[in-house]
Amino acid sequence: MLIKPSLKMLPLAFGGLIGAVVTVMVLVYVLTAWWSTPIFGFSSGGPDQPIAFSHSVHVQDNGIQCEFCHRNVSKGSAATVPSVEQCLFCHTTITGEDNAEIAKLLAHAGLDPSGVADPAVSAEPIDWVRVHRLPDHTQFVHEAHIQFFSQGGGVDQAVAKAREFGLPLSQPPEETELVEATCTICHGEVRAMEKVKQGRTLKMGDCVDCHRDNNAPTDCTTCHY
Amino acid sequence: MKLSRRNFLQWASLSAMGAVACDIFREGEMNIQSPVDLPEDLVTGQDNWYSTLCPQCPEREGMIVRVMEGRAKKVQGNPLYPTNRGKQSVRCEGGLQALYHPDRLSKPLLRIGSRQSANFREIGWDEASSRLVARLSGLRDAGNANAMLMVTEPVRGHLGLVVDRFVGGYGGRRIAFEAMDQTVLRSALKGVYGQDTLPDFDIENSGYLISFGADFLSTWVSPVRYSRGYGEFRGHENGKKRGTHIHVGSRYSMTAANADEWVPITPGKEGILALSIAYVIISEGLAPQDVIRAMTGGAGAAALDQFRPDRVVSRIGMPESIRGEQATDIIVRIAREFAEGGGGLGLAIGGGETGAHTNGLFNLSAVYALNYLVGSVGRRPGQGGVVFNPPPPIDGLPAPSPAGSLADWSRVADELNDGQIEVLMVQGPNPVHALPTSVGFQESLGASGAFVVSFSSFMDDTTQMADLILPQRDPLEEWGDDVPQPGPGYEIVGMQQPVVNPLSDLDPRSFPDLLLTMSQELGLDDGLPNTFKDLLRQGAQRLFELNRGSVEGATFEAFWNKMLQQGGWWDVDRVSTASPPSPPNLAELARGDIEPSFQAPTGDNLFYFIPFLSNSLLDGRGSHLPWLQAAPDPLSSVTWQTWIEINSQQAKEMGWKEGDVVRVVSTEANMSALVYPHPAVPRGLVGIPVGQGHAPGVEYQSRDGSRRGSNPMSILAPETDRETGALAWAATRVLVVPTGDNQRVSKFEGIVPAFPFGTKEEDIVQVTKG
Repeated sequence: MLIKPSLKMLPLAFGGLIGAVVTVMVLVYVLTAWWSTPIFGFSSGGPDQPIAFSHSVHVQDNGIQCEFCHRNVSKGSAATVPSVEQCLFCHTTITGEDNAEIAKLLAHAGLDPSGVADPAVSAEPIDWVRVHRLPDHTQFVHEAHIQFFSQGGGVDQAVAKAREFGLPLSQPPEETELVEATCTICHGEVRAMEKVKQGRTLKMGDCVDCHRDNNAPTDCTTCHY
Repeated sequence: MKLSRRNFLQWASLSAMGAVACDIFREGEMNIQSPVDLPEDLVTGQDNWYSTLCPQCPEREGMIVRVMEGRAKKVQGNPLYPTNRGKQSVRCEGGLQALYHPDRLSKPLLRIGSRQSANFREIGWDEASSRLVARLSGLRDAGNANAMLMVTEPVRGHLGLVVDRFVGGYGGRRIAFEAMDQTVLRSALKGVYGQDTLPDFDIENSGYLISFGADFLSTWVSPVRYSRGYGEFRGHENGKKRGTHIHVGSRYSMTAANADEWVPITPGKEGILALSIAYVIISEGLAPQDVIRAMTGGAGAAALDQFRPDRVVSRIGMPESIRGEQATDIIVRIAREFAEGGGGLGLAIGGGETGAHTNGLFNLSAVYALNYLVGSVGRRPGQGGVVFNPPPPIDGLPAPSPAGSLADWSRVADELNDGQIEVLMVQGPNPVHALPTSVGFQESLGASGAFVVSFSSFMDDTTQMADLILPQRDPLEEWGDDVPQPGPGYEIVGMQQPVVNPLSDLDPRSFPDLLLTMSQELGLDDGLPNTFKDLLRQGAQRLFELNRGSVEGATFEAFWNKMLQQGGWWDVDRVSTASPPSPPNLAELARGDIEPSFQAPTGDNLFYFIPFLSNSLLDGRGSHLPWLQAAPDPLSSVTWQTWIEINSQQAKEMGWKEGDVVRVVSTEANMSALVYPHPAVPRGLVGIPVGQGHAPGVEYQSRDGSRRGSNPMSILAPETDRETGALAWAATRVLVVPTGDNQRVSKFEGIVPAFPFGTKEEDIVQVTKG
């Protein structure tokens, strides 16, 4: 049946057009987000955390190495976030009378802002908002990557990255310096971040590109096992 | 409801909306958690392995210790160390626990109240050392320096030098103590081989081994070195023929269990069997004629006629037949095989209970003389047989002080009673626990007015009777060195270095450093540097100047570091140049009273009594360590308790079952133990492990304020070896009296009874008799 065009149909056609444009835009966003960097909304400042932990104060100002807190990063698959107990290595001395964020941290250990046990406060784990996350079907082992860039064939890239971000670099580079440079390859210049945000998309294309560039295996089972 | 397309889509979208609304995806998925406590497996840093020496056994194995973040974590054998070559005993591994033991003494303690009350208060080091120095100088000023007695283990290396110089410079006396000492063994080796130091038994390169009594795979002399050699002896590497091992002895020990054949005989008759084997070799001309002439004074087999196999079988209590073979045939066969050497060289070793009889020296001399008949005496390392050890490469090191005999200790007890000893310093041994009650040492010490000083990190039976306790550094926190006894057949000096610092709440001091400091305060001219480490470096300097051996270094510092790294210095090319002396005359050896005598109470149920060193606790020095308490005995698998091994058939006849509490009564004292029936224990004989039965003091060696287990050393009769005067600890006979109680035996072994396999004819229970 043929429908004759009429002015009455104009709102319908306009609606359809808007619908089509929105659908295409959503599709484009979803597809770009799926395959690579989403076209907007990615470069935000990172999520708010329960405690406003500043990497720049700890790493840039006080020179703490990545591995000191992320202890498992060169030993196992997960980098791990430090326990509250580990924060207290320093924060029983650097207490929270003048700093509300440190006071929050001490409260998680069951302490009052001056670092004294407070029976009214129970020790609770800190639930950080996750910034970097890979899908469940993808396995990623930090240790192998750290080793490649700090000791193996990727040392030159780590050195280049260190120069790019102006990281401290001895001559010849020390292993701990190369480890930090290695972290920046995927995580960006975390040492200068007030709030952690994602440095790379960590999409499959991203992984595969890097694996190809470094002659690393690209078999499915390398990551999907 | 019918599922239409419309319904399906509605439910699906509702579920999706519900899931989003209820936030089910947010739980945990997008969070990452900082736990409150640090997970234990997330340790940072790298491990370091340091080589040092194991203090747990007298043999002092070389070991490497894994240290992480300043804490020692694991002990393993040092693969480079010549005696144990990477192997270690359970005692080494368990020794780690002493470092972090909750009962470790942290500060000097001064007794308050009577000697029996064991009440102490903590004092500072300044006060402690000034009290001791004041005592010592007061004694010396009164012209009575001789009333100071220092008790140590038979210490070796530079520690021996420090103790010698201190005691010598002061003018006091010293005596060494070992619970089951090697006095008889040393005398036998001196008499038969002319050697002052223990030789190495090259088991791995021998072909046929006869062991008499020595439980060399468990606790005898240098068990790790022998076990390593035994592994190679039994292997087939490089086309080698598997060695044959015969064990002769009255107790079914771990070594007996590993042997190809075990020949059970009456306790104390080993020497007679050894001479019977010698008779066969001589009468059949299986040894060189000149050796036979020398050993029989030219008389040949006739000199040993009383040891003809058919004459000794009943005398030594050997079963008439074992697995269908007549006893005389067994002796003849063993003698022939021994002379033939099993494709290698024959080697006979003896010790343990064989030397612990009133005829101990005869037994061991007869055993070691057998090696002359097969030409295994004074061999070079790697050739099998008995390898003599060269003297230490550093001049001036004193020979290990021989342990005091039972007579010496009785004299010490008398002197304590008479007030002839005014200052008694004890470092290492625990004589209150390990001396038989009959010596009366504990009573004398309790009543004595002497000032008793114990250098000990733990409360033990002797320490808790002390007036002053000076906690020592753990060996893993301490410097030291060692010339192993026995050595590997060439020159060696082992090095001990501190691998960790003491924990911050402990304040122990080094024993040799204390002596060196006291020397200065007393104004003694010992000619030694101020610290023990400096003394060790002086010794190392001499090794450096030799410019040979396993450690190379362009400078002394490089040499010193390399030596510590390797765990010592050795030179495989520097072997003993001593040639074997002329062999002993066997007929003369057998002259006099060669039969053992026993002290026995009157009554029924009389048993031969063989105390033996616990595989993990040894003479009791490991009893405060829970790992060692919980390490099962290799044969019975019993832990934590004191058990009495008894023939299962005999126990059944007596109506005794496992766990029955019995009193073991000697002429001197009695003790209790749990019955452990075992089919391989000969009838009429019981064995009890030494090591338990300590006075309350450390949690793991006593419980509820009472003793854990019992101490078999306490009931021994004061029988001694006729020649050396050493305690004949296997010469006591006991009565076993049931008490009617029963306790569960804490053992690993299952509850299904184990049966010896084979036909009834081969049954090991059937062939043994008292």
